[in-house]
Amino acid sequence: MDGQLKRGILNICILQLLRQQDRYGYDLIKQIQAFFPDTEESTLYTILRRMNTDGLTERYDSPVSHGPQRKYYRLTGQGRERLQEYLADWEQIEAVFSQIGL
Amino acid sequence: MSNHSPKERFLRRLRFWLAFSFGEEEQADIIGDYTEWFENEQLAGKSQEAICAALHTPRVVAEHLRQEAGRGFFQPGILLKQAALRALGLFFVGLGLGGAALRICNQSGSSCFYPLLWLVLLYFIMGSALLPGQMVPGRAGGTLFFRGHLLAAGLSAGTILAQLLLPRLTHPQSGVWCVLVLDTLLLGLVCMQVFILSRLPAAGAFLLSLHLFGGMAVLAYTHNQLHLLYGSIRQLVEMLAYGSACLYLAALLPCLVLLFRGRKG
Repeated sequence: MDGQLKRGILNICILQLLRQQDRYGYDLIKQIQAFFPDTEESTLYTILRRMNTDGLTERYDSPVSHGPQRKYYRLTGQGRERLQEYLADWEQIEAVFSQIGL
Repeated sequence: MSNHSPKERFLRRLRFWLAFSFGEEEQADIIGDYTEWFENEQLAGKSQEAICAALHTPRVVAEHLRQEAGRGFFQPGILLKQAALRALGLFFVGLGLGGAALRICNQSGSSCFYPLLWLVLLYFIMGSALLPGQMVPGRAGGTLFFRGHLLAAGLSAGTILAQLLLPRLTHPQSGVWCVLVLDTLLLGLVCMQVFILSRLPAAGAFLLSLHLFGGMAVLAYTHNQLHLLYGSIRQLVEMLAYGSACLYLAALLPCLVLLFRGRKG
């Protein structure tokens, strides 16, 4: 799959998974890799970091009693808005696809 | 022989390669991510060896991260800003202790061996604080060699500059021991450069040319000290020596500019 297209789809998947519930990086990456097995963890960590920098997500440390300290990602209001924009774009793409017979 | 675990080795090498393209905060973030990765994979029952085998090599991982972030390999602003701080610190420590070394040589003649030894030791301790281990790839031995190389270069430059900038300390009879110490350090420096280049072929050519030129010029200056004592081909060597000092001084200016720009950024 084209890198640019794939990155766009990964963005939508990550935002959607975070809309369902807060998740830590490793968990999120494993979920995505279940759908896209050839996706590198480096790609996903970079997307997560960028989303955080852009204000789409925010991070917080989990209060763990045992096991490793985990950094959880939470979707922000801005992230929700961005997801809606992506989904609107996607609907437009689907409409174009159906019009040209795909 | 390294006693680091595969995880520590991986993270250490990753940090080294990241330093070329990412700032310190980003490096810490990425290292945090991969530390989390190791811990969770271990909880899932994998050994550290298996986790490393499933990941790419640290260099390739850093390369992927760099491409994903849309960066060039060599980010001069980032790399030099980090290097500039340490170089400045080493410069001033070297200048101070180099001056002290010359003073000791002037005052106590040939009985200055132990005071000089203490100064070198002090310099290595202070210098080590300025050179964190994660800057260095590979095994613990690599860290030692790398630090030794930088410290030797800093001390040599500092001593030479102390002679030029603090003329009251210099004396024609000064520094037989100082010269011997410097020459020994410089010999070690060349050996360490060869070692570092074997680990760092990508960045090597530039470092080699710069350091070998600087090292040779400093070596020439220390020989100039001997020629002052023996009275032969002084002028030629002196010219090289001043060239060397100018080289190190010239290196100081970009350090200051980078620091200034770094603060603004």
